[in-house]
Amino acid sequence: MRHNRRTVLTGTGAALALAASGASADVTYDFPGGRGARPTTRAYPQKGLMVLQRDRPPLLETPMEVFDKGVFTPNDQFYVRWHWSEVPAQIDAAAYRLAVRGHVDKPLSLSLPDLMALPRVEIAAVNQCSGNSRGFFEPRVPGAQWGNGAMGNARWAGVRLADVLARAGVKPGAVQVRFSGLDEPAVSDGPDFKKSLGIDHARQPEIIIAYAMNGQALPLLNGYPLRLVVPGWYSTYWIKTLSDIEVLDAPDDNFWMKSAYLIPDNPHADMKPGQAGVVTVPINRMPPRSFITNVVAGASLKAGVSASLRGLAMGGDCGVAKVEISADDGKSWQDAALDRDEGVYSFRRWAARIIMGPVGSAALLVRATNTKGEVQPATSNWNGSGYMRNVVERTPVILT
Amino acid sequence: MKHYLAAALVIFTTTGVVNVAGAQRLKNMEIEFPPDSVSLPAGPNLSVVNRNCMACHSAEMILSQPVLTRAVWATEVTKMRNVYKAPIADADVGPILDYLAALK
Repeated sequence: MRHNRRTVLTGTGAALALAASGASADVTYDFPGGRGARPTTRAYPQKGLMVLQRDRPPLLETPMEVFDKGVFTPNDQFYVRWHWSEVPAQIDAAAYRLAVRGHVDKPLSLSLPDLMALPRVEIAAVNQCSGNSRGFFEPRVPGAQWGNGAMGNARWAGVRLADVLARAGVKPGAVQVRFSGLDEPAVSDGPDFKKSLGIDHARQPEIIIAYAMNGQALPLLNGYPLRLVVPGWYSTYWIKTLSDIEVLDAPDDNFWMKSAYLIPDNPHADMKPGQAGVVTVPINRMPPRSFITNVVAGASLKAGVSASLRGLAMGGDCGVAKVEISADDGKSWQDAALDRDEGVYSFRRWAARIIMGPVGSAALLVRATNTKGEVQPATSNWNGSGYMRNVVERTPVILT
Repeated sequence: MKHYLAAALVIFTTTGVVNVAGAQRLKNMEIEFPPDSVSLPAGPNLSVVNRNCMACHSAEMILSQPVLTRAVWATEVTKMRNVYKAPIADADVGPILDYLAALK
């Protein structure tokens, strides 16, 4: 049932280490200290061209040019991230069951048709890895060395988690709901990947168990047949191949809640390297971010005339109120025009024309403000896990 | 399940959730993963690293990391052993760190 490739490699260097040598790199991220060269691949099932971060378990990044093509990210180029090597490779649709158990009146074992008989809802929402953009942290931190492409926006369709919980009958005293999927630890005593949401959050109407993504079934690497969708929150909670929902009457102390995916408990998840006594909390909501998608770092633009810029913004756990751009490294800002609103948790496209400065090097900046008034900060946050980057992004260009 | 109630359709304009008609059928699915595309380069104790590390993840897990000190690599190996339960013998830890710290 699962992907289990325990081949022990005995390569002696004949196959050169690509990231170490820089050979045949298709993408080179401008990471501080280097090691930003990555190949691209079309080798993964149900996936088109992706940036290959890791073969096994797969870490596949969405190429940045995909984000210039539309507000929704195509399924076949939506990023992929798995923790454990035992990634499900086969789904038997008739045998598939979603368990709902724990602190409930009536435990359920729901088939796919059972779920699909419930009212169908749709929501557009950004799914972003907690460690998206980790490679840009300085000083660098270990972990998946993502560029900015560990994110995507899709129109998700499925059933409300609240409807499923109501059918099981949550007992008084429930405090959290824990979710797990079919992926399994590589070794039997390793901690199975499980994440929990507070009971009040779990009952919010925007949280769905999705069986469709952009009008199609999910690619297996994105969680087919069922994925939890937690709009506004980081992807760590969006459990793939969802198979188990457990209502808890005490706070979840499993490794993935208690010891992993923790951030400094302050608005930008910020701390100093080596700082002691930092109070941490589980990562949660996303802050605003924005990107220029039609100009890449190092591009040449014409000096002294206006240039068209466009890109994407997200509010995080609320809508986008404003997007501003700067062509003088942040000394002056002007508003961009916001494109169609696909929903508060969606990407929002923006476009603007702005006069370029004189001949020489320059930097283009984009800054989003969300509907809660939260603005992207001018300086980067730092934490040892490389989580929650949302600094104003800077695109260096050459004006000629 | 026969006991599902026909729930009233509600439109959540504030959250962007809308009900839509239509259903789809979910089918069996099976995928095949490509082989690893890269192996670890030559270095001290390569065979020890291959034997201990490559069962759970491919080589990029190591090769894509920034330049890390031996102390940071030691933290990573300790995490692999203690948290993720990688069955790495005590005697292999030093040789593995020699390899990781020597990566260029």
